[in-house]
Amino acid sequence: MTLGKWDNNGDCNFTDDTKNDSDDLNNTIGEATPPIGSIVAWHASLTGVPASLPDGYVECNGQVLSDADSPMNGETMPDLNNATDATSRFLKGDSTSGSPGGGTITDHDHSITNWSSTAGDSPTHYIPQGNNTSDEQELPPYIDMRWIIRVK
Amino acid sequence: MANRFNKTNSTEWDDTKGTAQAVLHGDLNDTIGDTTPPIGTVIGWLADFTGTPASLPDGWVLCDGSVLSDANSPLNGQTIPDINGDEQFIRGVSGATGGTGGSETHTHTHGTSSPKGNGGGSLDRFSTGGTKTTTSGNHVPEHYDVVYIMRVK
Repeated sequence: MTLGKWDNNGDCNFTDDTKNDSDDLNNTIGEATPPIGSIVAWHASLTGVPASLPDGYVECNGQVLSDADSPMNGETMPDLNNATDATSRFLKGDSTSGSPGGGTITDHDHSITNWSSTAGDSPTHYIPQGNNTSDEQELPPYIDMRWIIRVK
Repeated sequence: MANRFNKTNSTEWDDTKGTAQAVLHGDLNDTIGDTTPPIGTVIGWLADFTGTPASLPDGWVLCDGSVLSDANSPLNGQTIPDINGDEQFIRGVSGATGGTGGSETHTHTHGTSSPKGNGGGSLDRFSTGGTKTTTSGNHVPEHYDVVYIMRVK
């Protein structure tokens, strides 16, 4: 990590000016890291990935956060990981955050317009009837990851 | 988290140079470790946007299916998922990560019926029932392309 705000000629001299250096460090880290509330994907099962999350991150599993050092203490984290509501979620951009949606398999009909058949036609014609009888969810290509959120 | 290095907030602080350095170094590593996304994090990167630096920072790689060769990474030798080449969305799971599925297209099945004439009899050249599957249709949702990258050390 580049400490762009470290302005001490490359040396860290602990004098009475230390507090200023500390603030610069805090500012640099604060400006370079994703803000509290950021949600990123985490490939927890890849061999070599450390088993536990950093202190400032939790999984998005619908749990109530218990962390007195977090401004989100006591809030229910969103369940994005199929932990409690049986739904593995994608994220979608919007101007406000927090609303779940989608996942409903909608009924639909097919219609036929300007359609005619005359004697001697060889094809067999089919008239679609009723609703979609397939009930599988139609998912785009995906890869499973764990959604995690920075909480402090 | 803020002002963690503030001298007045540190109960461990010692004004002797060596101890102060040790405390600051440890606090610095803790703070960076606590606030930066963990190793294994995958985020979108607007690689081709004007102004985005052309190269990734050391510690981040493209999710392009490559085998990682970096002795300093705990993921050294692992195959990084090819999220970009496979043009995948990311789905949340609480269980094992890395599974894949879905498709860009789908078909589905409808029942069929035979139309009736005025007299109630079936017309010629229509099927009399069964099901019919549609042609393949694209169902990729609205999206915006990004290049996915992973933190590896």
